[in-house]
Amino acid sequence: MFDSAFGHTAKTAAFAAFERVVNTALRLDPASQQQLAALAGQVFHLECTRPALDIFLLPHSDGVQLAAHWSGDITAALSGSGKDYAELLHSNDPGATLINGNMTVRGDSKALLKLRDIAATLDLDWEAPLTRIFGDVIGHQFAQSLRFGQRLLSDMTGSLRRQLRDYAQEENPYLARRAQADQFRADVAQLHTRTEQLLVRAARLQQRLTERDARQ
Amino acid sequence: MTDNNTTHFGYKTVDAKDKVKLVAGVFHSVAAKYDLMNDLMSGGVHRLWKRFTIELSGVRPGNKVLDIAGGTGDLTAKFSRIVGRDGKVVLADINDSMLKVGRDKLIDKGIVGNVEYVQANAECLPFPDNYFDCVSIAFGLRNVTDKDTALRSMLRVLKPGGRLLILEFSKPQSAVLGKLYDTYSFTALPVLGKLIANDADSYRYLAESIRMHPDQDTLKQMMETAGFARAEYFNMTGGVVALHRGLKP
Repeated sequence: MFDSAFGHTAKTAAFAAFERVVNTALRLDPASQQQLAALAGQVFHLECTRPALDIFLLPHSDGVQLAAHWSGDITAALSGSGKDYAELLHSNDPGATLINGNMTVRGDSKALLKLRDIAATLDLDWEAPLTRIFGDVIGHQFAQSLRFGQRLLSDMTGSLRRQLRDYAQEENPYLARRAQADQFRADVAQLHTRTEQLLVRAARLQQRLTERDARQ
Repeated sequence: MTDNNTTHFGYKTVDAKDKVKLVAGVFHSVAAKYDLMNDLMSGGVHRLWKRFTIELSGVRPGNKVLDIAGGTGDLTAKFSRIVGRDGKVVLADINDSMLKVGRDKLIDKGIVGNVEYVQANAECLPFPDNYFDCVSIAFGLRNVTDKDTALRSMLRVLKPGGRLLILEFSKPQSAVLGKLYDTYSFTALPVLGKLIANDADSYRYLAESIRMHPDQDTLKQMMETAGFARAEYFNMTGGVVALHRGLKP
């Protein structure tokens, strides 16, 4: 009842609020705003399958417009799970991740990669709003603490990720190394090809035998 | 419009030729406080209704858009950003007071270059055939004397495949909401009008004109009769407002 009667208004309200938050944050990174302005006029359809979320994103000179519906043309559409989006965002080779990963891409992938680069290099300057609220001295100290915390968290996450990968690949006897796994995959593929060739030969021999029996 | 050349002005029946002047009187009176009153009356929700309209407009860069009864230019401002430098938005309103308020507001916001202003009656739009990619009319159709003629006029100026969007008050889908809405409209609105715009009568007319406006299915039928294809509507806020959309075949 609520969804059918109030759904459009509620959804539009949620997106309007989200857009306000995003644009407020973008104002803290003028470089990203400039890069987004270069994508003005393009429409991106970002579909997240898990959790389910459908967003139309329209960059413009002041930030982005977020919409729950869009009836016009779409520049590019991207579909995948939240995990896939996170992988794309943190990937060292986003082009390869986009094409070889689990995500579905339609339209202009180059424009999508530009959008991804803007998101990945977002660098919000918290110092400006903090100094406005707390004054120059406290605001600056607060911002420095935040930056330190952010760096520490980033270092810890990177270190944990490396250690887990090393453990999984080197220490755990039940897991194969990447090179071993690649060799195994190649062997299986070769075996598959040879089996198919044998099957074809067997079928051909069977046919010859049948033809010879028929002649006798 | 009724058969004997009379029409409704709120709950009153008036000569059809007088309605334009009467409606003009209402909007001359409220023009200066129009935006403030809209925010107060709807609690700001009118911005969401307009936002949803833009989302379903299908407008893209380079398009020509006609915003009829554009008033203070809320939709025009949004369309202007989408169509960009290569496109054009025409803000049309029959009322010069509303047009002036809209023009001043948009210029003050720096929305210039791709917006034109035209004082025009929706029943006889002064534009060539097959000219616009999209025509919108938000909270304006109920004030038009001959709605069928206006719909045909909008169809004429649209390009084939172009879209008409009608955002208008409509019929609440639940009886309880309808009662609450009636109580609010006929008690709170005139009081707000008196307090803010010093004009209770104009806001009483607003409530009455909403009740006299065709409901969702009737307006959809009117669009189809005028020649629009794939006419459909989307209820918002429980049907208090509906967005009708149709294509020119």
